[in-house]
Amino acid sequence: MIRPWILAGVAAALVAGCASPPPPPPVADHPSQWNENYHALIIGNANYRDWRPLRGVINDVHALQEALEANQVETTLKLDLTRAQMEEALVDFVFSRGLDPRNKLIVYIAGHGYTETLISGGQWGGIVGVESPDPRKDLAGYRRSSVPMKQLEDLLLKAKSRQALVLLDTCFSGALFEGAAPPVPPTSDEERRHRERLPTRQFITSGSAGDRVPDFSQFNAAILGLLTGTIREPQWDGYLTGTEIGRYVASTLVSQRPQYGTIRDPRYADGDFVLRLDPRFSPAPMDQPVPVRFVSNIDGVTVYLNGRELGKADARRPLDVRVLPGQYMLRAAKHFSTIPSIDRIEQIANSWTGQTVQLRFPVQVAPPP
Amino acid sequence: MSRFVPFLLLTIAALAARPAAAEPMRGLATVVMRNSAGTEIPLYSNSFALVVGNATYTEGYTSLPPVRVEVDLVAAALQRNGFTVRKVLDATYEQFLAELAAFSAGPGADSENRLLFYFAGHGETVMLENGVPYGSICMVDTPRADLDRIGYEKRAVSMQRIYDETQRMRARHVLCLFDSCFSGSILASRSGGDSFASDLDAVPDDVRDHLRHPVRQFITAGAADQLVPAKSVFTPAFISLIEGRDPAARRDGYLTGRELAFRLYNIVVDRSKGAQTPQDAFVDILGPGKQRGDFVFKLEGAP
Repeated sequence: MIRPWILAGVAAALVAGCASPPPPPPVADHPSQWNENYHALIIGNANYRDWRPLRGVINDVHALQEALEANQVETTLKLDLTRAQMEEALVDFVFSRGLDPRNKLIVYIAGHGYTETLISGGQWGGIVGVESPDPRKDLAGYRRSSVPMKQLEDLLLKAKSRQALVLLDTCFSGALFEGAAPPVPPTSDEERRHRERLPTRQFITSGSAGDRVPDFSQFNAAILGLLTGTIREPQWDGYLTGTEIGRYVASTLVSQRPQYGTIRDPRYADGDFVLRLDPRFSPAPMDQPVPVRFVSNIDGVTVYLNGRELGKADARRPLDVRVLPGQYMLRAAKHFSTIPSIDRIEQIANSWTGQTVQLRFPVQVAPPP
Repeated sequence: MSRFVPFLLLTIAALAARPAAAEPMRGLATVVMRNSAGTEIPLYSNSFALVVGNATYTEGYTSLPPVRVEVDLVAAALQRNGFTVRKVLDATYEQFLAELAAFSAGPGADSENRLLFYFAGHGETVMLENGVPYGSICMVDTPRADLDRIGYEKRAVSMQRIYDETQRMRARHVLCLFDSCFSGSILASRSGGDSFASDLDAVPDDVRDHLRHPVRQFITAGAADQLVPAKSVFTPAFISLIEGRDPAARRDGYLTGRELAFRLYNIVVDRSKGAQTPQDAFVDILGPGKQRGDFVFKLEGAP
């Protein structure tokens, strides 16, 4: 028979400085507990055989790589690829990083794009390989040295990853969404959170078909800003979503008409890609609840904040809640039926996004009689 | 800007026509259909076929020696039917992409052309993560999917890609035939099989006018879960139909794509004792609800 004995465990109690309203009820499914990994493939095509060079691309993709890595995204950067090399890089990426559903994929491609008008009147976008000739002089040559965006869509359907986000900073790249319904923004915070759990294949392009994107990429600058906190994410909570990026670029880069949306497959239509920003880049505002996780070393610990019960934390199942930033009186207790409860009282100060509070109960196991 | 487009198209058409001169061509390729009043309905000014046969596989798939002969027979039959044929034997992935691009950007650029794509070789179907079967045709350097999936992904040509390429063609009528294992999967993910009209030969005059509308048609030798024998049943049936050897098919002197699919189905199911069921699909490239044309073969000795 094993009986827990309590040795000690009361720390000084401090009262919160923030007499704010009581914290909201716990949220069970929060991105902070999904244990996901982020992987990015970045392709930058700057120097072409027949197309004019895109001087800005090299700097853009290096800056993007740095910004993603600062947010704990593993990156692969490839420069000046032919059509065959682009296909290889994409297949290698999808069939290595995309094999685990929890791995989230980001594909960023900067370079020339080209749009053909189909007999049906639809538009057909392709990413131009560096070896491609001018399609107005050699259409067959162009077609065999470019990657149709449709192919990129199909390839991503072979990934097991639940979520994938494609960012295309290419001339004429809006062709992907011709005729597709515009995405409907979520109407509530709950709906938004729900969408962030669902599988998605999201695409954001820098400019509509027919528009030429200049050498200096405002699209790239906007994404860098969002990733590094110089532009505040529209929904200020430390989690940057595909819809947030899409809506931001669509509303600020009006003249080049960026497009965003998901592929048409209904199974991927409702999700929203979510990237957890490094806390450095998204300090939580004082009026927005932020996620806090409680981890306990023993099972069945009840957690109270300012005297209000939040729920139970177990050794294997942490308790995730969202609270407003500030100071709170934290009480954690383990109730037994036969022996007095053990209590541990702590203070959390300045809670921030993704904070984890360790609840350590010094517990000794009595020797068998 | 836009007024340069017709000029460009003409240039492309002219470029495309140039290599054709070197190929064997039988008489005038213009296909005209006559309605009962004797009025001529011009259907095509030129006919082009890309015939690809993969017999010698190097990366794991078994070789298919009969394909070598089959593509010769198909090419010859198409030439007799007025097609300028580009025949490619044992295409690698890169060679195939180049041939397909040249076919779509060359002959495919003229709306008055009739295009036929024929493939014999291995096919493969993998499942996408959304549960949709995804079929591809294998080039001679495509590694076997179950042995080297990543290599396979890099060098297999998806049926979707062929379908997409037909969308980029401006030619009014494009017919694609696939004599390969597992080749039916494009149809599972697309519009599904087409329902057949009961009286295929009775082509009333007003329907003949509709024939000119654009269409993309796909016929595969089997359904997605069927193995197709190395010695083809499908190809001989196809040849006998376009050669006009089937008396039922040649009554009115024309064989339409829809009729071809229907008769191929009957012959192949019968000869394979039900083991192989050809699939076909029409794709309305102008969107649903628009009038759909039909591919037309003029049969030998037609009235």
